[in-house]
Amino acid sequence: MDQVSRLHTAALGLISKYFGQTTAEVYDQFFSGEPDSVITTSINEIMVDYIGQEKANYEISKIMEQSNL
Amino acid sequence: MKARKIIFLAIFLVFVAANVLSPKTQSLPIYTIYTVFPVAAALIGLYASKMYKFNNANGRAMLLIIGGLLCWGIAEFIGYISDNFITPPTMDPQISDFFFLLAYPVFGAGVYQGFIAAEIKLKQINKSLLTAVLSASLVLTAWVAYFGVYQAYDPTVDLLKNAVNIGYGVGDLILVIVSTLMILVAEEYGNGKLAAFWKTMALGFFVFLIGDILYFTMYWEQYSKDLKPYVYIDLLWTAAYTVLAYGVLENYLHIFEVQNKIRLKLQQRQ
Repeated sequence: MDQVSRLHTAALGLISKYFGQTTAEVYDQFFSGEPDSVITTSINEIMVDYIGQEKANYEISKIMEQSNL
Repeated sequence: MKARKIIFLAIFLVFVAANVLSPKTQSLPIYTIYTVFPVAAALIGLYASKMYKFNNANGRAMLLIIGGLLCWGIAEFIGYISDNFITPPTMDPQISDFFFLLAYPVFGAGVYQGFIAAEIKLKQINKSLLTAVLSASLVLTAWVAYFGVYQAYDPTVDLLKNAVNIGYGVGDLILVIVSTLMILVAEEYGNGKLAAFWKTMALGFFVFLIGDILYFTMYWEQYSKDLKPYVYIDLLWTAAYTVLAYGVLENYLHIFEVQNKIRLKLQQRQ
């Protein structure tokens, strides 16, 4: 649960960086109570579409490290 | 081709047709239509600005670029009013020059923020692309530095007028740097939608720069006399405003769609 919360927070930070705070707030509600697999899939989907596969992999690996996953 | 792209292209082509068919391009109707483009770009930017905040580099990049567009929109509008409705002719340099010149460093700051946010690793950039972009930038820099900055100095006019003339040259040097950085930033985002945004903005600034170079360093006398084809430099600036407005709007709409998709999922969950 602690790890899921950390991933949730890190994912919101990444969304806020590229999509702004309002988008991060919407995702905050969406991620609530979701397992880390759903968070990872969602974040991967929007990031690949917006910043490309390679950059998305780099950014997602950073948040995974932050979350100790 | 996307419907929005077709609409933007169609609006621009209407202006091209109006210019080509009009016997006198520097007339009030043509000037009015011309002014709609930068003002619309500024308004679209203002509308999209609500999406971003200053608390991160990407947000700052977007807001500063929009701020620059706003300066150009205000400058063109003031120029339009003072050229057409204020008599006797206004002072030289005009207030609009201040807003025009202000836009260049604001764009520079915005693109710098975008460059920082992209965390570009220069060693990983495609060497051919880097060589081509840097070579083109060097040629443009040399041209603008000599004709736009060095030769802009006129000993027969006062200090303020000289400062403004040289300021436009310096502004164009900023546009060269800005366009170069934007291509590098776009490369960093591969085939993502953010790459498309930076490529679109780079194209817009590059077209604007070509218009500026043709006007300031080559044909301003012929342009001032309303001679064709020199007056068609306006078409380059209009094309640039159209492309920049399109880029800002597309990025805004993409983020809006991302938000709406998740809101819909939240509704379905409830």
